[in-house]
Amino acid sequence: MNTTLNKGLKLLLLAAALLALPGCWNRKELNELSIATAFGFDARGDRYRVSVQLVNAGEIADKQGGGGRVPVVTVQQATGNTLFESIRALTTTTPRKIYSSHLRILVIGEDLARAGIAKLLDGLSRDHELRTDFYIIVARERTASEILQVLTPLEKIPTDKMFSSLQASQRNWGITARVDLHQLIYDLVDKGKDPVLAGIVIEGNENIGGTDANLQTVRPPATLKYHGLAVFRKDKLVGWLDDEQSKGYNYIRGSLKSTIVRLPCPKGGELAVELIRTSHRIKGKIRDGKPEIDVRLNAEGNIGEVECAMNLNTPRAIPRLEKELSDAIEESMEATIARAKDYKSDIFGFGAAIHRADFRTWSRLKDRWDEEFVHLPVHVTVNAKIRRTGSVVESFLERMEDS
Amino acid sequence: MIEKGKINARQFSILTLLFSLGSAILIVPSALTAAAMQDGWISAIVGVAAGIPLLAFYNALGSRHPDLTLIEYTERLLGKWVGKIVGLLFFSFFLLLSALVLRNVGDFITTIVMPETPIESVHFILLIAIAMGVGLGLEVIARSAEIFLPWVLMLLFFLIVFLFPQIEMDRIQPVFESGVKTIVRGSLSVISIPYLELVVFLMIYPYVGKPDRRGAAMIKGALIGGTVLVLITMLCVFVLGWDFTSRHTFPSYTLAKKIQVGEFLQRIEVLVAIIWFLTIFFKLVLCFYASLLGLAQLLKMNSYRPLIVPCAMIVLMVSIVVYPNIVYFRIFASEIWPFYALTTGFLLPLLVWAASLISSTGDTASKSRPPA
Amino acid sequence: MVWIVLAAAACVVRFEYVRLYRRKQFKDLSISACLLGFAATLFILRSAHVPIPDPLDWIGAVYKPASKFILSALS
Repeated sequence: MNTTLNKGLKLLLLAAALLALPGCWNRKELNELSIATAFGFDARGDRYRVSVQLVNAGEIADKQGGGGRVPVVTVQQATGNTLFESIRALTTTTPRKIYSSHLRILVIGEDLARAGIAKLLDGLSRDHELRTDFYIIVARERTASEILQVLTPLEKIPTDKMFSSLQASQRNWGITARVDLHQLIYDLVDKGKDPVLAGIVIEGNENIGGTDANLQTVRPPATLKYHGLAVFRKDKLVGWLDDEQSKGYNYIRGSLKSTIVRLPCPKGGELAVELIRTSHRIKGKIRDGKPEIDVRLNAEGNIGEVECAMNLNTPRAIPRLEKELSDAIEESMEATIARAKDYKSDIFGFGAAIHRADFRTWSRLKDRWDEEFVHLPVHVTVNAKIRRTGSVVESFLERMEDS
Repeated sequence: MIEKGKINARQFSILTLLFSLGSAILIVPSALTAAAMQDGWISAIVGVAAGIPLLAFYNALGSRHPDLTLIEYTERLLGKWVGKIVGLLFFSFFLLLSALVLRNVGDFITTIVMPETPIESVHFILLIAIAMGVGLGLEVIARSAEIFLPWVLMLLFFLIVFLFPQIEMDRIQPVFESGVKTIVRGSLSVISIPYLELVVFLMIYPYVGKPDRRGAAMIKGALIGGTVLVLITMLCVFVLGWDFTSRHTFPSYTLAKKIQVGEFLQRIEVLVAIIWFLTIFFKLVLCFYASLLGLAQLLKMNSYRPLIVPCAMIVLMVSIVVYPNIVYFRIFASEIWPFYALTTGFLLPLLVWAASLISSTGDTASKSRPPA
Repeated sequence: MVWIVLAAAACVVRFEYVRLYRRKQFKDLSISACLLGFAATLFILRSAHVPIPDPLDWIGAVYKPASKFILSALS
């Protein structure tokens, strides 16, 4: 073959390869997509109602003089017998096909959570467009679709607010839990741990929440707020943990990065310690054929705020505060364990710890673990250290009282 | 000699390495954890350990006839009829393997990346590349393997390093829960994919320079490949958990999906999928090349070139027909393939080796005395 | 699909076979032509929706008993 024919063939081959590269059958043109940022699942009788928060792409782009007249997101709903069916039924109302790869939040209505969430999750884990990195939360006393309809003043897309608020509150306050699909399925499958999901409520008037009016005042009439943790037994919601107990849960799981602990002062009043580091250890043991758990927590904190007249300059002040801090954290953890035992739900993974320690005993216990868990002795040891007191050592309050 | 190319020992190890990573890295972690739960990595180590003596055996066989390929000396040793039949069995193994590997890639792309694309199109386009590769000859294949190796290694390195923060040591415990029997059962999948398939390399043996270095090169490549497999399986258990790994069709891809460094290095799993494409490509090219060369030698042709397009068409057809759905494949790969691969990859070569010992017409043996 | 494959077959005939014929390599030519014919027939059959047998079925049939035996011994 002569070289021009050769070159021609090579060029043809290259062109053919270029044709194949973007994919003929699977092409997704950007203007054919509706990007879904959040899904909401509710129970409607024995069917599912799916709501989806879609980004209104034209409105998201930066415009002069925001405060738009058109909402930045839209929520569509559809009902069906199975999850997949409901999502497809959405196409009857949405103008384009939904693209779910950017999903950030999944809200499950409380009713549906009480009925059981395992069935919904299979469809989600199979879909190739979905990833496992979105967070799952439970709508408390509301339906998921109501949660998705609240507009937020600081973030254009409410889902972003839900997402970053969850991350920030778990890192800095410790009363929520970031659970993604991977973690949730892992907990559901593991007989030694029951799942826990963060709960979200609407504070204020939700009727205005979905309208422009929510964005027009400095203090919005309706806000989304995270409140408590949902406790599940197997895949059904059985109860809620309040703020203190949620902290206890996060202490035990070691997912607390930083939080504030209030301690009473010897002469009345309170002071607050800011924890900056925790490291945890859950160890299972078998003693005389019976399971036991040791939870150990090492915490480090700084004094954040002193609201009482206490002299911190003495050598005994800090160790005493450290002891109080350890006790306070221990109490928190024990209260949470007691509450979880009330619900007969091993949300801490103690069963998994027993499994790791001795799998033979575990295979005996695992089928009645929710009963065994109630009688499980748990020893909590906390070792807290206070390192620094902030920029000030002695509080001026003490001087103030003196003079 | 139909093939005039020569490759060196280093290229030989690289080819072995890429071959052993090939489709194994996609399928094997799932099979390992399905059998042995969180002890899947132990099964992998057992499998690799069993593979090494197997490779030593291949080396022993190949060294007895250093200038002939497997099919050539099979025919010579076992006689015209038996030899040709056994040779045909080898050829059909290589061809079927090519079709299966091609189907692996096709399944991967249509499951993960482009589900609405008909699988035949993916196969067809890949086959064009394979046909070109085979047409250009063994030397070119080996040289391109040398070029692509750094990319594969670099991406593997990134995969492992970026996933470090997500490792949870708890997930591998309790260790040895499954017991020895189950661990051995799991190791069958590693032995059959890829070690028993390495019999393909006996077709390339004669073209590697320095005959005494061939065995070491092959074992080196396979050992490194096996180590990577063990590492990836361990990583799957550490990061995903054994349950997830066993349920997913392509757990190493799910592993890559989890890479998240800060806020900017995420969703790069398709880049990591490049590892899979490259390694499977080389496995496929080598299997197809071995089958073409084998058939040409069986039928005493002048060159294997005229066979390229017809055999490619046959491979295309077989790859589409070969299993109707993914469930069939998983059952086949875990229950039947190990035994078929054992027959063609071990028992038949054993037969050939025995024949070689008996007739002592091994070229190295017959140098000093006349044939018996 | 069939059409692309048949087109590829036609290309082969045009380029390779002419070359082989000229070099008088009749044996290679005939073997290749047989295989090509076989493959083309398969494709034509498939496009006519004739079910093509699956080699894995045959292998499965042969190895099933051994598989059952060994795997149950290892459970």
